[in-house]
Amino acid sequence: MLTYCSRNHVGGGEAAIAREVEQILAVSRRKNKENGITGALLWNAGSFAQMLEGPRTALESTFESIQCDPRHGDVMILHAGPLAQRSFPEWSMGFVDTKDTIRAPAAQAALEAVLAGEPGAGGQIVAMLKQLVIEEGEWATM
Amino acid sequence: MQPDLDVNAPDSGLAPGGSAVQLTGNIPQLALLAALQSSGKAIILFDADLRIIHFTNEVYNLLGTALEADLPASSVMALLQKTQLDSASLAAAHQALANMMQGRGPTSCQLSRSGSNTPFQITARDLGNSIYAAFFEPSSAGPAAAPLEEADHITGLAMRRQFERQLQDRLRECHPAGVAVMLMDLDRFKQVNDTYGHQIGDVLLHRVGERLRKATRQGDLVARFGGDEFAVLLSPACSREEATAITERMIDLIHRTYLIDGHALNVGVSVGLAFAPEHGTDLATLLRNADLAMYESKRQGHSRACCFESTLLNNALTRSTNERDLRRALPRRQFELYYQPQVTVDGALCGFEALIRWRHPERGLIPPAEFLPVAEEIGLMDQIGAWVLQTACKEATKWPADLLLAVNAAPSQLEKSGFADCVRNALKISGLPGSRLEIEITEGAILNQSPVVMSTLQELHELGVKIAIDDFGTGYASLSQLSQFPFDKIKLDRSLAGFDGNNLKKRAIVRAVTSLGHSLGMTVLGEGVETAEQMERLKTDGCSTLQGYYLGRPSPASQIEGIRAQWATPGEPDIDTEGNGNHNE
Repeated sequence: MLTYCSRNHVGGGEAAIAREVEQILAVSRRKNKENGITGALLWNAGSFAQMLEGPRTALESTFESIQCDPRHGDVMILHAGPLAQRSFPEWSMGFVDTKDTIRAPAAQAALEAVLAGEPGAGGQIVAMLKQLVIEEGEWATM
Repeated sequence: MQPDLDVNAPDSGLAPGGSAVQLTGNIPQLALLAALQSSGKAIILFDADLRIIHFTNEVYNLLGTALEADLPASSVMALLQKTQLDSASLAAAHQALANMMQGRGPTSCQLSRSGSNTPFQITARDLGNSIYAAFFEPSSAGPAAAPLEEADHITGLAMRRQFERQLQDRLRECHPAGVAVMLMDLDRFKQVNDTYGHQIGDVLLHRVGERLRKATRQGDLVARFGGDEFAVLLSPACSREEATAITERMIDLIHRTYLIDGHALNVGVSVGLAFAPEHGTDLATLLRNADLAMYESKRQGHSRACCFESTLLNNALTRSTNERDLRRALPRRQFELYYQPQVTVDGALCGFEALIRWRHPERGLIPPAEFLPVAEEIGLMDQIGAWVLQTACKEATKWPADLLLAVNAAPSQLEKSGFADCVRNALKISGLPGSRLEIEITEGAILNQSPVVMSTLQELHELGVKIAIDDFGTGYASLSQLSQFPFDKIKLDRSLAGFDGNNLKKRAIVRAVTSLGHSLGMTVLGEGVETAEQMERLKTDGCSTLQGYYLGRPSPASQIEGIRAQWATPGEPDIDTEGNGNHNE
């Protein structure tokens, strides 16, 4: 299991960013499915948090391609290690939209806290990602 | 000759020859692997990092190897290295794989096994979805594949020879927009290799190579010169701005965390840039200048890029003159020792610290900060250190027996095992009792708790020699470290001790250190004392001894007698006229 967060280096206005994220999601869903990777993506204006689960070698090569992607920066690994059971067994990727007025501010705050290196903020992100899956199971079928 | 099969190798049939990636367990995939296996062909499936996903048993037979059971963790190259392929074949195979991944050049080549003259062929194919395959077949009688430029085993990048040949061609063409070269060294790669082993180090080098490729453009040549040294030849007509942008992208990408075998690893890269014709029109000059620029990047603090400037060359020339002169300094007796008094807070002389100076025939007296780093770099530190110890010990035998001699030891001296012997020798030659010698070490020397340093300090203690920790409060040492080794003295750095005014925070730190020091049985000395007010304050805050210009500047040995006359020594001032250390109380 691997959880990391990063800053969004996608330029342009909100529409451009939304397009970019859609594209990232589409590619991630396809690639991760092929590689047996599941997980969740939290995206909020300036930052991403992503939790990935799957075979270690597949995770590491996915992470390597993320690291080579100029759209990310300041990548920070929150957690990397073995996992007894997947938290996200059913679906390949989900995200919190900035238009989501309930979750977006909380996600924003958690991401900022993590990037500022506040202790405990990583756990908050993971919990938030898990909650997201429970609430938005429909992403699985998309 | 048919090689022995590894007894651990699984049978053919449904059980695949080996799988590194945990397959998701659906039937079609297993069936595909079984079909692959039953084809009787030697095939390796792998991912973009050359990690093996699956291979067939025929690979064992064709390549001739005793493969270990731990194979699944390794890469295609690691597997091929365990076979009986000769080194030229290994390089050629790697190049074919690399060509295929980059979608250029020949993707198949002839291979030969040592001790066998039936050649066979490797063909690399991209199967899509980031899965690649290498097919091995006995060679057809057709014409041999075109000879390949030899590639670096670990990264698949070009090697120095190919790089230099292309650079040479480029320089000959005299492209009007010029030629740009970058040389780079990884920062902290050695630590990765030392900590995690060469196998992980090699995967890291491969990843670095990949990232360099991604940061550069089609037509740029990326090469590995060996070790952690890489080079890039930018394609013609590359402007300064483009070169700068590429450099920034490289530094950014290389700097990002790597995840390898469950370890999160970080390295940096220091880059040197040089452009032809401004910085040289021939290969050797251009590469030397790029190299000088790279060293400048390292000097400025790593993970950055510098472009060559003529001052770098001048500095390098000055440095080499310095080096030459420094090598001659010891045989020509140009080093001198100066001695600075150390005094108790009650105003009694208690010892001298020996400080080295270099009397340069043209430049005059040079302080240690200007030449010791160079001496360290060119490996003269041990010789100079031994000279200082012997000279100072001999001098100290002329002093009363209650005066201590303090001598500095550089981290590099302590890190080698011979330092305690060097001290023992100096004591023996001079006849100075070990209890009158104090070795000052820096915080950096004990930072890593290296076993060699720790055992050296222990040996010194057994000789009765005292250990002082120098410049305390500037570096890495924490209060907790003080309890881990029985230091005899803490020398509070001048920044904590020799300040003016009433800085309450600093004073609180000083009081904490003196109180801890005293309760651990250590003397605390305040350094850099320049005024009576500072002296009084340090006395109030618990220091027991002091050193600084206010109490006496470093002076040549000839002036020691005069200095001693100005101070009362603790107890009765009593001069040992015999000039030996066996002074009776």
